[in-house]
Amino acid sequence: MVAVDIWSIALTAFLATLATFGRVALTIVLGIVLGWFLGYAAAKSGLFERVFLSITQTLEAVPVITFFPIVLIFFVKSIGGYIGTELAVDFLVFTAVVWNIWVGEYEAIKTAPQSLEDAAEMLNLGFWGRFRYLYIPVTMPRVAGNVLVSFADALFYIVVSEVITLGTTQYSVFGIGALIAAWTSRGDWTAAFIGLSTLVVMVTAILFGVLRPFVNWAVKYSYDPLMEVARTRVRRPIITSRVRTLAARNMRYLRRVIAIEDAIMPVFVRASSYAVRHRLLVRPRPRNILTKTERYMGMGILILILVLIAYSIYNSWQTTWDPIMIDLYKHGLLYLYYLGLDWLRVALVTITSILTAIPINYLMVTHRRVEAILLPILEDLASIPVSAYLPLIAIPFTTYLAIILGIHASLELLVFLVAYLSTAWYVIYNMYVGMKTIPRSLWDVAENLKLGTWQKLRRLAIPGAMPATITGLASTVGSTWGGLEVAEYIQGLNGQVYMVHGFTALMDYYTAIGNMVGLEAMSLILGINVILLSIFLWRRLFRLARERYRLEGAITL
Amino acid sequence: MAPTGTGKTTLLRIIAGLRKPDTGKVLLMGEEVRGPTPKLAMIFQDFALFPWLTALENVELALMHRKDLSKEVRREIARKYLELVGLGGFEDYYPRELSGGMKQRVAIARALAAQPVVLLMDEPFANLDAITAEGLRAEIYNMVFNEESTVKAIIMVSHNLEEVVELSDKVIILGGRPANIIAEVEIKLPRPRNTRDIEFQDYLDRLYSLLSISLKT
Ligand SMILES: Nc1ncnc2c1ncn2[C@@H]1O[C@H](COP(=O)(O)OP(=O)(O)OP(=O)(O)O)[C@@H](O)[C@H]1O
Ligand SMILES: [Mg+2]
Repeated sequence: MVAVDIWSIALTAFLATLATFGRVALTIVLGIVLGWFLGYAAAKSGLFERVFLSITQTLEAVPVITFFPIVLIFFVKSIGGYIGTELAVDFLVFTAVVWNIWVGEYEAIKTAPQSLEDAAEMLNLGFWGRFRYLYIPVTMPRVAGNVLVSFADALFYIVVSEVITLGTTQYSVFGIGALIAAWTSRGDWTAAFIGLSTLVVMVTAILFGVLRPFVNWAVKYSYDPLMEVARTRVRRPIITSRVRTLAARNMRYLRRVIAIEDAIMPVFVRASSYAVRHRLLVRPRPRNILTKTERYMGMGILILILVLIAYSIYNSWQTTWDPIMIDLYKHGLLYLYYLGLDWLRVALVTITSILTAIPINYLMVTHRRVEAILLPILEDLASIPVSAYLPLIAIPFTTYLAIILGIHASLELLVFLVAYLSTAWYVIYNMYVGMKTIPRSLWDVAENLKLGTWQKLRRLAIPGAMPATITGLASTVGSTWGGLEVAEYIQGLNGQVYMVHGFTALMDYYTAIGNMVGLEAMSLILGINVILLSIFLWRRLFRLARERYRLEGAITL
Repeated sequence: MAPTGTGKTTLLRIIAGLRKPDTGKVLLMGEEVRGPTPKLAMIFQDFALFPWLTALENVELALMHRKDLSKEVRREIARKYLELVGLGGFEDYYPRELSGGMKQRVAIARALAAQPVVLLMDEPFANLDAITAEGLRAEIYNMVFNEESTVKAIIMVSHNLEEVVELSDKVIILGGRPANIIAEVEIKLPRPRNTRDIEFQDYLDRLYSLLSISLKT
């Protein structure tokens, strides 16, 4: 009886995971296809390029999830029912994954070798021919570089967005996230565990069965002769005559390790390292020059977009516009305080991630065996969304640790842990790529000068890893926000609600009690915050990473 | 020939119809060239092979615009041109699996397959090692000007004096900014030419001094 039960649970979990993966695949594929045309248009028209860049750069670093309640209300109101919820979920995932894919495609098309474009033109390939033989293939390595991260991101967001409570109404779609949530809130731990295991197994299967082969295939056709850089390793001068026999034995062992390593290892790394290096290294052609009329048209379009957005906001909020202002007047300071608290958490998590990433990466880059063991594990961990196993980690924090530390400290710790777990992998990866692509000659010089570990870290490893780390920061901060969102407010565990003081917690709370006025007021604040940040922080940081830290010729062979 | 940055590539791209000149026009057999045409084929310094296509597919690309040919016929023609440049048997190799000289041969086959009247070459040997370049130079004349070929002339850009004297009938030296014609030199040596001939050396000296002048302008 029990056995049958387990199998039917497993089957349900399997089907639900398929549904969830279907959503992810659909949004990613749609994003990729749309990106070809948008990227092409942006690379060819100066006007479109400006608009495209300012929009994607702003949205790339947005914690989209925080706007989800608003999006959901919009879709449910205007379309309604299950389809409305389904579309809202798909839309959310879409906005979570497309930006970096689109930027990648644009940059790949923009930096396509001039001679190849000339050749395509001379061969009279026509519009579709040029797409088929040139523009789509050049984007492939960048798409591959982003698709793994997008897959992980999409899973993270989809698992939390499949079920949401708005006031007294619960909206949910069929999927593994909704199932696990339902099981945990019922206290059905066996089923939840089976569901989670199914998810883990299937994530691993997709990773090894679909994504790795795709990345391997895509990267092989890259125009970049440096592609193999990720495989070059630090060679350590160990062979003296005295240890020659020992070395021979070691070599045999090493060869075995390398064989395994090459078979299962760093696709993620190779792909993302390609993406990061492409971003940092390939000197982009200058933006297309705008004529005067185009410049005026550009400004016109931008103003038009702003007016349209403002109008639609005003329109959807018309009835509640005054209450929102009143709400802001009454609680504005509290919102800002909470926003500050969350940014403090984000800063702490980011710094901790960087601090833990440094020794891990240094070990991996200098010790091949550590690398061979750790990297595949990290890669798989990165793809399993924290949001799915959150209830499981939450248990000790709400029971045992809550008694020892007090509930506040315990929950705070939980939030930190979850945010860290949703951030750390990406920081580690970005930094790994940076350290790994430091040229071997520089390591040799360091060896030659007999620099100690600390000196090598300070003079070589950390500065070498900087550009890649900084370039990845905007999106890792986005992931941190995602982690905060799911952990600051936990509903339905042991039939209780656990929350800390924080911006996303309050938004979740407002969502749960159906306080639309407060929710919209908070979204407004967050929106302004995001735009300011994009203008004053991320763009500058990107430019800094690109220009100041760009080690001209240093990240080559 | 011209010092680097003078605008040789730019001129070649204008001739090919890839770029519009501000003034003046390009005439080919009395007709103005308004855009890329199969009558003009270009060979690039970096070979410009599509890395995701095999050697054969790269050559086939040149025949894509010929809607009158079936896929099989296109494939046969492409194969023939690969054989002509001495790459029979390498049809299914990807560019990254070929050596520099072989890549340039594929590029030549692709250009010839379009059946052009004029071949444009932008420093075609610059990315090859000296020995490979020498071998290819010796062969290219027969590859391009055989009875089956439609090519009537080659316009080649080069930095290499020896290469220029070995291959050209007429050398035009550009200089200044914007570029002007500094000198025109006809090379009246019988083929095949021997680099060790005294006359050959004389031409080298002459071109060398002309280039020095062009550098000063
Ligand atoms: N007559 C011209 N009108 C406008 N731009 C020009 C002209 N000549 C050269 N340029 C510009 O100067 C730059 C260098 O030109 P180009 O690449 O054609 O030089 P090159 O002689 O091929 O140099 P190299 O020997 O390095 O290949 C290009 O950016 C090109 O646009
Ligand atoms: Mg040139």
